[in-house]
Amino acid sequence: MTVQTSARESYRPPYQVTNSAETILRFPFPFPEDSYMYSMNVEPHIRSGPVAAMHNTFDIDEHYVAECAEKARILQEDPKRCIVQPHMRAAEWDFVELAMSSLSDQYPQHFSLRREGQDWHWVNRLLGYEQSFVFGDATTLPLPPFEYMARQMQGDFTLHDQREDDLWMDGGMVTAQADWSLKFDLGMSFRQWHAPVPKAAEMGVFDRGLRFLLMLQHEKPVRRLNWTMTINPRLDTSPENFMVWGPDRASVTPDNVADKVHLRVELQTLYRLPRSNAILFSIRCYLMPLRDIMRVPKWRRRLHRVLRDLDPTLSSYKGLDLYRQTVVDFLAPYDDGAPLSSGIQPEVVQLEKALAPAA
Amino acid sequence: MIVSSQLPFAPLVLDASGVRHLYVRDTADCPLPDGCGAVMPEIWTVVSDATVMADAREGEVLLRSVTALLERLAGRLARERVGLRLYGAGGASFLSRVAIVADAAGLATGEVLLAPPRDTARRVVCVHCDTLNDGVQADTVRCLGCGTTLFVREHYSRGLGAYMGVGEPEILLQAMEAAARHG
Ligand code: HEM
Repeated sequence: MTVQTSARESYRPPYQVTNSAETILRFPFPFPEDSYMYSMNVEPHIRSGPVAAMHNTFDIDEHYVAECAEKARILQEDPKRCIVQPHMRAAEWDFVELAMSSLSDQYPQHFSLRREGQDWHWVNRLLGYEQSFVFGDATTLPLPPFEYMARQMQGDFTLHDQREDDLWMDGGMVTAQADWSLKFDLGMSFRQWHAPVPKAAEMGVFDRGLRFLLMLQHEKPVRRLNWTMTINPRLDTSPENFMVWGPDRASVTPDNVADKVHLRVELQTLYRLPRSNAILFSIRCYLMPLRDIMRVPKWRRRLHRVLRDLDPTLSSYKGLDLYRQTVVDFLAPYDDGAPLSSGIQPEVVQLEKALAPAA
Repeated sequence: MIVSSQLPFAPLVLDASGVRHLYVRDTADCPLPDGCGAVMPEIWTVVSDATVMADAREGEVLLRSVTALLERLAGRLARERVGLRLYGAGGASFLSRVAIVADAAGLATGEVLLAPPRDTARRVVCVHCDTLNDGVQADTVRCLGCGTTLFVREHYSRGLGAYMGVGEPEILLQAMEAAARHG
C-alpha cells in the first residue's frame, strides 16, 4: 500500500479526503449477503481474507499521516479521549510490543524496531519519530506507553481487564468513534457498555460474543466487521461533539448524496495480551463515499438491497432515518436485481469509471 | 441476561452469607431489609438536621446530610475487611453516590445491595461539557454548564453515577418533526 507522507487531507470542514483506486478495492465492504442483521460474525484474524485491508495485523493505508494528525488534534482539544486506569500498566506494555513488532515486521519500509534485551529502538519514518527507550520503564518514553504508541496508529483502541468472568472497559484511546464515549463507558462490563444496542442482546449475540472472548488465546486474534453511515468524511463522530456534526444528517439532498454519504466500516480485531491477560480491541475505521462504492457493481447493488430492507430499529439506532430513503432512491436505478455472489469480495480487479448521474 | 447498564436494584433481603451488615438510607422512612430480627444491621440514617450527633451508641447513627453520610461511609469502607454487606435505600441520586463510594473502596458485586429507588429523579451528566445535572425528573434537562437541552439516553455509567445526556441540534428536531408529519 502506498502511503502519502504529508497530511494534505482534512477530516473536518472544509473536507478534503480522496481515495485512490487501490484504496477503494481494498475496502472492507461489510455485507456478505443482500440483507443485514446482527449476528455472531467473528472469524480468525489471519493474514488473508477477501479484501487487502484484512491482510495485516494492523492495517496502514494512504490516509495514515492525515489520520494521525487528526487524532493528535482531537486529543489536544479533548484529553479525555485517552484514559487508562492504573491497573492496566502491564497491558500498556503488551500493546507497545504487539504494535511495534507487527508494524516493523509487516511494513519494514515505514517502521523499524531494534531490541537488545530491554533496550529498544523504534523508528517511525512516516511521522519522523525515532525513540530509544527501556521496555517496561515508562520514564524513558515521552508519553505513557499506550498513549505513545496509539497515537502512531490509525483507528481506536480499547484495553479490557478480564475478571469475574467478564471484560471491563479499563482504558483506551477513542477519537474516531461511531457515537459512543470512552469517558462515559470507562469501568463498564461487556454487557453494560453494549446496553444501548437494540435487538442483539435478545438474540443472544452478546452472551455468545462474551463467552467466546473470555477464551480468546494469545496469538490467535479474531476479527469482525461493523458498520454505520456518516455524512461527510468525518472521523470524530463522538457524542461529545454531536452538536457539531449532528446537523450534517439534515444536509443530504439528491444532488449531494453521492459525495456526502459515506459507508463507515469498522474492522474490529481482538487480541489476547500475553503478560497482562487483558484483551486489546482495535477499531479500524474506513470511510467510503457512495461515489466510490458505485464503481464496484456488486457493492452498489448490494448496498441498495441492504439499505432498502434494513430493520427500522437498526436504522434508527445507527442514526440513518433522515437520509436513508434518499440514498435508496439514488442507488435503485443502478440495481438490476441480478443475483450476487455471497461474500464481500468486489469480484472485479478494476473499478468502473466514475458514474454519470442516473438518467 | 441483563441488557441494561443501570444499577442492579432489588428489594433488600439480609444476606446470610455476610458477617457484618451495614444499612445506609437517606431518610428514616426507608424500611429495614427483610430478614432483620435475630441479626440486625448497623443503621445509618440521614436526618437533615444540624443538631444531631453521629453517635453510634444509640444503635442507629444519625447523619446531618447525605454528604456527611457518604464521607463517613468512605472512611468506614477503607477500614473494612471481607464479609461486610452494604445495603442502601433511598432516592436514585443517593443510591448512585453510595455505589460510587462502594466501588472506590473495592467492594465486589454481591457485597453491595441496593433497594429500588424511592423516586425517579436521575443524575444526568452532559456528554458535551461534563457538568453533572442532579435531580432530573423529565427526559430532557437544560444543562447547568453549557445550556444545551440534553436528552437523557437510557445508558447509565456506574463510574460517573449518572445517565448520559446528549443534545439534539435544532435542525434535526425540525427535520424529524417534519418527517413525522409527512408519515
Ligand atoms: C472487547 C470487545 C468489544 C468492545 C470494546 C465493543 C464495544 C462496543 C461499543 C462501545 C459499542 C457501541 C454501543 C453504544 O451505542 O454506546 C458496540 C456496539 C456493538 N457491538 Fe460491540 N464491542 C466488543 C465486542 C463485540 C462482539 C464480540 C460483538 C458480537 C459478536 C459485538 C457486537 C456489537 C454490535 C452488534 C453493536 C451495535 C453496532 C451497530 O449497530 O452499529 N461487540 N460495541
